[in-house]
Amino acid sequence: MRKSKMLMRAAAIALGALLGATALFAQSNITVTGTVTDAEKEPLVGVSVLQKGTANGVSTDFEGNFSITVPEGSTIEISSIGFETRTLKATSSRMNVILLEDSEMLNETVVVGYGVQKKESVTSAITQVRADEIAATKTADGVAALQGKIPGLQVTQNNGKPGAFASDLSLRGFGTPMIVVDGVVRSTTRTRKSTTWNQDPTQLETYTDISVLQELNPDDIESISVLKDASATIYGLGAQNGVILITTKKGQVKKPSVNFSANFQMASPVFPRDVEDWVSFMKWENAMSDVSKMDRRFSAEQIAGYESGDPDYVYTDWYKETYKDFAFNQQYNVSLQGGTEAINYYFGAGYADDSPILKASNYGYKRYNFTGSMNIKLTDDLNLRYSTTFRQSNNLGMGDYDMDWNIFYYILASDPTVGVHTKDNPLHYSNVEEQMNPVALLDADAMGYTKTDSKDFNNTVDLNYTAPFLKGLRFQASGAYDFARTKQRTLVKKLQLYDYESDTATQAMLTRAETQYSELWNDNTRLYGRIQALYDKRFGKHNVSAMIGAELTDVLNASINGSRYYGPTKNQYLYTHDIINQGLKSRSDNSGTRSSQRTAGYIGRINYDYQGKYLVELMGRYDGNYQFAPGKRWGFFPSYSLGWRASEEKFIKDLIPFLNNLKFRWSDGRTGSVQGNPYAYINGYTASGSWVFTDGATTTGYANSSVANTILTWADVRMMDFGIDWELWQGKFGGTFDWFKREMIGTAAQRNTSLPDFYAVSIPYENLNRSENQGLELTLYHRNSIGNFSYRVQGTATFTRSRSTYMESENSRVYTSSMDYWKNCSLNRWNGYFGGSTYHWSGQRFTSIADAMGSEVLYTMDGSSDGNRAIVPGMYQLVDRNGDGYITDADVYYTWGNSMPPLQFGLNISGSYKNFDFALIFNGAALKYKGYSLSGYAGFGKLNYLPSQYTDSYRVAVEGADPWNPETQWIEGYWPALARVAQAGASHHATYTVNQPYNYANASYLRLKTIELGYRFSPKALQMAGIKSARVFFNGGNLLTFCSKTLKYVDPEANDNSTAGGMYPLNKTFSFGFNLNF
Amino acid sequence: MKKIFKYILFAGLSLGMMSCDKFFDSMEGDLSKVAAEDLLSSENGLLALLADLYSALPGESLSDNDKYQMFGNPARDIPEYKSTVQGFWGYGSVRSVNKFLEAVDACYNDNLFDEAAMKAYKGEGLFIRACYYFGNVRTHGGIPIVTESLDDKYDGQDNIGLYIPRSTEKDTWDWVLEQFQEAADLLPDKQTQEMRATRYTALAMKARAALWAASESKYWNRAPINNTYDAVKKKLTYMEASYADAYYTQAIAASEEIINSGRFSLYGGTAPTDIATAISNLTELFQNWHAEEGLFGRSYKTGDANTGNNTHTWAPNQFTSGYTGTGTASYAVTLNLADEYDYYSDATARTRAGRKIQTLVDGNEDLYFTQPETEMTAAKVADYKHYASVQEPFLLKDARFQAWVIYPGTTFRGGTVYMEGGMVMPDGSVSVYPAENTGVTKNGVTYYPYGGANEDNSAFYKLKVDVNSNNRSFYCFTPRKSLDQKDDNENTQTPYYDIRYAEVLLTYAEAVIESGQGDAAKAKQYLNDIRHRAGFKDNVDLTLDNVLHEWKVEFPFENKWTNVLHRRRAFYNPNNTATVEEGSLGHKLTLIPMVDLSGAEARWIFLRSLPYSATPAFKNYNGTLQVNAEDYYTQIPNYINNRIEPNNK
Repeated sequence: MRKSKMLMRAAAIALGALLGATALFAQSNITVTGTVTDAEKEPLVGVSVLQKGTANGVSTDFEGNFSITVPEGSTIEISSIGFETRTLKATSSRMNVILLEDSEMLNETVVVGYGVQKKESVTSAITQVRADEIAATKTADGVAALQGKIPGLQVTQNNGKPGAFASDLSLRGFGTPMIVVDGVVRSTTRTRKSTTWNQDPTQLETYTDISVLQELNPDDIESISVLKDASATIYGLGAQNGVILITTKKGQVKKPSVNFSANFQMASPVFPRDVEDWVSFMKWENAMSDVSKMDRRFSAEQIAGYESGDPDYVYTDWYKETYKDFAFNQQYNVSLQGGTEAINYYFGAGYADDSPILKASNYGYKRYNFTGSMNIKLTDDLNLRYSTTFRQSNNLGMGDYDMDWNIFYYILASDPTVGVHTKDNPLHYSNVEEQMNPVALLDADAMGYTKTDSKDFNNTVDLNYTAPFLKGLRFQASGAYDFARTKQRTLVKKLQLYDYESDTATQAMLTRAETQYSELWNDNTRLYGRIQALYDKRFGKHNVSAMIGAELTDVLNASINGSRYYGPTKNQYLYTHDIINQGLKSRSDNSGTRSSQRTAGYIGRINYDYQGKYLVELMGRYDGNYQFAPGKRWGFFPSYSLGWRASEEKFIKDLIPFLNNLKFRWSDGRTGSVQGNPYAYINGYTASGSWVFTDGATTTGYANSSVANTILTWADVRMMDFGIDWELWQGKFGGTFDWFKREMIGTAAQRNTSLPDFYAVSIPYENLNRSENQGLELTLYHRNSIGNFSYRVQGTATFTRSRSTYMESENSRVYTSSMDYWKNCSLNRWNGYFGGSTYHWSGQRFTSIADAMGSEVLYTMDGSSDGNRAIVPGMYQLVDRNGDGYITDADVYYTWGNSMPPLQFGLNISGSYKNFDFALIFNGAALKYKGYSLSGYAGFGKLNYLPSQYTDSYRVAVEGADPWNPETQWIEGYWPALARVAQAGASHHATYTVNQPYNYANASYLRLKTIELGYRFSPKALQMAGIKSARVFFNGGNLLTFCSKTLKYVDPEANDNSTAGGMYPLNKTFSFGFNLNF
Repeated sequence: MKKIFKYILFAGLSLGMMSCDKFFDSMEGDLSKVAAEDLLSSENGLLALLADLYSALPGESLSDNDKYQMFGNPARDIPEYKSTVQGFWGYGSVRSVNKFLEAVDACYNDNLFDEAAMKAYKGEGLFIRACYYFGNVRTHGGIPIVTESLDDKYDGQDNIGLYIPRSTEKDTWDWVLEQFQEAADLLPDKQTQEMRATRYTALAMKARAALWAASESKYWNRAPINNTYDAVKKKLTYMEASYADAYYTQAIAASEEIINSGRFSLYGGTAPTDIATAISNLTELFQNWHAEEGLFGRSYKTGDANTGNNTHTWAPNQFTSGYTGTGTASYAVTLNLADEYDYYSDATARTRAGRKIQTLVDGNEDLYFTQPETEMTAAKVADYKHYASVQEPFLLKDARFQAWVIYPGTTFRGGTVYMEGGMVMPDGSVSVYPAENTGVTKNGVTYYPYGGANEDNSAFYKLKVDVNSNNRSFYCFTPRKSLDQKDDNENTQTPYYDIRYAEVLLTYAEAVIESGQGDAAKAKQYLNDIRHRAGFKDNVDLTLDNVLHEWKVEFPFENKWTNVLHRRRAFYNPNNTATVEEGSLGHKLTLIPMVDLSGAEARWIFLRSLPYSATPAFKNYNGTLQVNAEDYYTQIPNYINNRIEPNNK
C-alpha cells in the first residue's frame, strides 16, 4: 500500500502542477453562428466547433445550432465522429455547414486502454478495425470474423463444426490475447467437460474462455482495437499477449433509425469430395494388393457384378449416407438507434443458426444476442450510461467426445458392401466394421448427445462527471456485473448392432459401453469496479492529458456435475428419460467445485505532446493478484512510449509536400504473466488414501504432498516496439512498419538440482526460465477514387518467432551427438524453424522394380526388415547423407516446422462504384509445411475409398500385370505406385512413412476468406415505403484456396496433423442477404 | 445494479483506505485443499491424517507373496522361487507422519486437546513410523532415519540439511524396536475403533521385528554377504550371531506381555468338540473381524458395497460366474503345501498321523510324473491306492487344510468343486488330460474325465476350449481363506489380519526354542494351543521343526512363510552349505485325481505330477537358479542423489 500511496501523491502533485500552469489569452473577437446538418439536411447534434489550434470550442445543440466567439479571421474546425472534418474561415455571417459521412471515420480517434486517443497522437502499435470491416465476413464465430483483418493477429480455423469455434487466436505469436469488452476484462478461466480423447465423460478441464468475443454478435460491434505492444500493459497482469478491445454500439443523438439485416448461407466442404467410384476403387485395390504381394481383395465376378449393376451387388456410399450437399445457415439482426442529448439508446437483437454439413441430429448451433445501451444525461455535468448484452447459445454435439473424431474415420473406413440397416429390418443398424456404424453415430436418438446451453449476461455502468470547476477535468466511475451459466447435458447411449446379413444381434456400438446421463452446471460471476480521474488540457503548444484510476475485479466460478448409469451392469439397462432421476441411484457420481479470483490495480497515465510533433506517454500500473504469497502479490509495471511526427516538421513538409503523415514510434513497457497454481503458497492437504477404522465406515485420508511455494510469482514481461507510420498523396500510399520484441523473464521452472528422497516432495517452481518473441509487421495500403469508383487495398504481413533463451532443464541435459543436440535441444532455437524433418531426395525416382532392387543404398528407415523390398516404382531416391550405405534416421534433414506458421499475411480490397460496393479478404500463411504419411487414412491402401488424385501414380502399363516382374512396363505418374497396407494394424505401407517430396508438402496458402458484393438502392425509390436505405449483398466464404495440390485432403490452414484430415471440414459458404434501414 | 454500485464504491474506498494484501486476505481461499489448521482443529481431521498414514503401511494386504514359495501359479508360467518380502522406501509417507507428529505437538501446545489424547495420537504416529522403518530395514538394511519434516531445509543452494547418512543395520533395528516400545508406552490398552493401534499392537509389532532381527543375526552366516562391499564394511547391511540373544530377549518380553494381559485368545477356543466345529471356527475367523484374535488388521467393510479386497479372483473358475476370462483362480495351491498338513489319526483321538497324501500302494510318495499323459500307463493303475470318492484322501487332514484350501470334491458355495484330470476307461486304458470332456456311463452314473459334465470344471488347463484363456488352474488346490464362502461377490469384504494372536504365541515359542531363554513349558503349551484349536488333541514337543511347521500350516495366504525364510536367511541356495531343510524346495507339484472305471465300482486314484506344461526350473528374479546372499537386500533407490552408500557394491 505504501507504494500506491506514493504513486497517488506523485500523480496529485503532477496534476496540480498542470492546473497551475493554466493561462488565459486575450483577443479581439467576433461571434460566429450557424447550423450543422448532414447530407440529408438532418441537424447534427454535439458537433465540435473549434477555433483551430486552440482549446476554444463549443458543441452544436439539438437543432444543430452553434455560436462561438473567435478572433476575427481565425480558422474554425467543425468535426464530429463519423464525418469528414471541415475547416472554414470565421466570418460574421451565419454559416450553414453540411458534414459528409466519413467512411474512414475511426481513423480519426482510436480506442486505447481506458480511453480514446486521436490517431495522430498514438505512439503505440494499435490497430483498429471498423464495424463494417468486421461484418463483411458472415460467420457466427466472432474470432473467425477477424481473420486477415488485423496485422499481427493470427487466426487459424481448425474445423468447421457448428458452434465449436475451433479457431486458434494468437497475437504476434505471443498467445491468446486478453479480451476487453466495454472497458472490462472479460476473458476468463472456466470449467467444462474434458474434450480430450478418451476421457471419462465426468472429467472436467479448465480453459481460457474467449466466448465473449467468439459469440458476440458482429453487428453489435462498434469497433475493435488491438493493443499489440507496451500499450497493452496498462491492463496489468495477464496482458502479456496483448489486448483486444471491443466497443459495442451505443446510442447516438439522432432520429430513431431501425436496421434490419438478414443473411442466408449455404455451406459445403472447402474441398469437394473427389474419389474413385466403387468399381474403379475395386480395380485399384486389386492393383495395390499386387504391389503389396497380397491376395487380391475382389474377384473378377464381384467387379463384373458391381459394374453391371447386378441387383445382388448393391453397395453403400457412406459419404452420401452421412453428408448433405450443403448446410443451411442463417443470421438475422435488428437494431434501433437514436435519441436526444438527454437520453439516447441502442438496442440490438440477433439470431444465428448454424447447421451441420453431416446428416446429423446431434450437431448444430443456435444463438440469440440482445444488446442494449442507454445514455442518460442526469445533470449538465453528470452522465450515466448503462450497457447490457445478453447471449443465449445452444450447442449440440455428440454424446461421446471420442466419436467426434471417429465419425470421419468411420465414414472413410466403412465397408460399402454392408448396408446402413440390416437386410431384414430397417430399424436395426447393422454392424459395419469394428462395431461401428457411421449413420447410427449421427443419430441422436440412437447414440445420445451433448447439449450445451450457455447464458451470458454482461452489464456495464459508466458514470461520467465533468468537473464544472476545472475545465478538462473529468471523473468516471465504472462498474460491471457479469453473469454466465453453462449447462451441459450429456447422454451416451448404448446401441445394439445387428449382423447385416442375418439380422442377429452382435455386439453393441463401440462407444462408451454403458448408457449414462450426466449434467454439468457451471456458474460464473464477475464483479468489477473502477474509478478514474481524467484531465485534458492544451496550454499553447503543450498538450497534456493525464489519467489516474483504481480497479478491482472479482471472478467467482462454481460448478456441479452429476451423472448416473441406466443399468446395474453393462448388459442390463433400461433407458427411460434423459434426466438424472431416471438413472440408477446406486450407480451415480457427482462432483462440485467453487473458486474465486481477485485482482486489483492502480492505473496512471500521462500523455504530453508539443505541437502534436513530439509525443510522450508515460504509464504505470501497480498491480495485485490473489494467486501468490503475501509479499509476492503486488508489483509496479512502468511503460513509456515516444513518438515523433516528422511530417509536422516544416522542413520535411517543404521537402516532401505530398507527405501527409510520417510518424516514428517507440514503446517499451513491462507487465507480468501470471503462472503457477493459485494458492500454492498455502500448504494445503488433499484427499489421499483411506482407512476403515471401524467396520462399515471408511475415513478418507488427507495428505500434504507439496511444500508451500512462497517463492514463485509472475514472470516479468517486457514488450518493445519500434514503428513507422506513413501516408503519401492523401492515402494513395500509406503504411505501417513495426519491429517488435517480447521478453519473458522468470517463467516457472523447477531448479535443476536433484534432491534426496528424504525431502519427499517435488522441488518448488521458481522464476527461472526465459524466452523471447521477435517479429516484424508490415501494412501497406492504397486508397483512391476515380470518378464514382473509390477503392482501398491493404496488405498486411507478420513474421514472428519465439525461442527459449534460458531453460533450467538444459543444465543437466547430456547430448550424445551433435545430431542428438540438433534434434532435441530447443534452447535458443527459433520455434517453427526446425519443427519437421525430412530426407533429402536426389530428384531421381525409381522407375521400375528392377531399378529399386538395384539401389546401392539400403533402406532401413522405418525400422522394418523390409528394406529395399518395400520400395515401389515412383519413389524418390533418398540421399544417404552420412554415406554409410543405409538410409536411416541419421540421414534426415531439417526444414520448417508445421505448427504455427511464422509468416502470416492478409489482403483486403474494398471499394464502391455508384451504388455498388465490394470487399475481398484474403488470408494466408507461409513457411509452413505439412508432413503427412501417404497413409490409408490420408489417401489409400487401407480404407474403402481412393481419392482420384492418387490415380496419377506409377502403375503397370497392362492392367493386372505382375508388378514384381522386372520385365513389366510402367506408366509414370506423380505419385509412387500405390500399395495396400502390408500388415495388420498398420495404417500405411512401410515405404510411405518416409517424408518424400510428394507427401511432405509446402503448406503455404492463400485463401479468399471473404468476398462480398453489395448494391444499395437509391433512397428516393424506397422512401415511399418508409425505408431510408436498402442494400442487398452476395457473400462468399473460403471460396478460393491457393495451395499445394496435394493438400486437398489435409487442409493447409488447419493444425490437424495428428488426425490426417479426419476432422470436421472447413466450409466454403455462399450467402445472400439484405440490410434495411428505416 | 445495486451490486455494481457497491463494487464501484468498494473500488473507490479501496483507493486509499485498505492495506494492499488485505484485498486478497478476505477471499474464500483455496477450496480444493484443506488447510492444516482446519484438519488439526478436530478429532475427525486428525483421523483423516491418520487414515492416510495407515493406508500407506507396508502391510502386504492380500497380495500374497507366499505364492512364490507355496502356491502354484495358475497360468502357464515357470514356477518361481524368490525373495519377495514387502519392502518400503516411502519417505513421502515418512514426511507425512513426521508432519503429523509435529502437528500433534503443536496442537497440544495450543491446548487443542488434553494430555491423554496427545499421547494416544503421538503413540499412533510413532507406531506407524516404526512400521514404515521396519518395512524399510528388512529389505534395505541400515537406512537414513528421518525424524522431522525437512520442508524448510531446501534453500536452493547446497541444501545441506536434506542429506542424511545411513545408520548401521543394527542401529536401525535398535531404533525401530525403541520406537515400538515408545509407541506402546504412549498408546492406550484399547481403542474404541478396532482398526487402530493399541499398546498391544505396538508390542506385537515389536515382537515381530525383534524376532526378525534376532533370526537374521543368528543365521547371518547361512548367507554371509561379500565383505568387500562398502555397505557391509560400514555395517550398513550387516548383522552377526552375537546380536541375536538380546533381540530374542525383546521378542520374548514383548510377546509375553501380550499373552499375560489376558486380553487375547485364539478364536473358537483350543478344544473344539469335533473336526467339523474346528473347520467351522477356522472358516469364520477369516469371514469377519474377531477382536479377541486380531491385534491389528485391515477391514474391507467400507460401507460401500462397490469396494472390497481382491480375493474374489482367487476363487476357482467354477464359482466366478461372469468372470471366466483371465484372472480367476489367481493363486493355486501346490501339492507341496497340501502335503505339509498332518492327518488326524482318526476323528476321535485326533493325534498326529503322517503328512503326505497316500497315492501309491507301496507308499513311495517321492515319485512324480513329469509328462503324465505319456508316462501314466494302464499297467501302472494297479500300483495306485484306490479311494471310494475323490474327496476321501482329504477328510482326515488338519482342519486348517479343510477350512482354508479348496480340494477336489470339496463343497464350496453350495456346489461340488470338480478338479479331476483324466480317467481310467472301463477297458483299462488310461487317458490323462484328454482334449474332450467326454462322459462315460457306469452303473447308471456318468463320469467325466474332468469331474463335471459341463465346461465349468475348475482344474485343469487342458480342455480344447481353454486353449486361449486362463480360465482354469494347473493345480487341483486353490485357496479358500478370505474368500466369500457364500456368494460370488466381486467386492468381497472379508478382513485381513496383519497380526493375529496365533503369531504372538508362535513368536514366543520360536524365540524360546532358538535362544533357550524364557519358559519352555509355556512355549510348548502355546505351540500346542495353536494345534489344538485346529482339532488336534495330542501335544507335540517344542522343537524348531515343529515351530516351523506351524508357521507354514497356520498362516498360508497370510504372507508369513516368505518372511520366515527371509529373516532366517534360509531361501533355497544349492551353493550354500548352510542351507537348511526349511528353505530347501523341490518342484512344485500337483495331484491329478482320476476316476478308475475299470473295476466293478468307480474308484479314484491320484497321480503325483508336475503341473501341465510347466518346465521344471528354479528361477529367482535375477534369472539365476538360486537366491543369493545379495538378494536379501534390495538396492537403495536413487542412492547417488541421496548421497548414501548403495547395497551390494
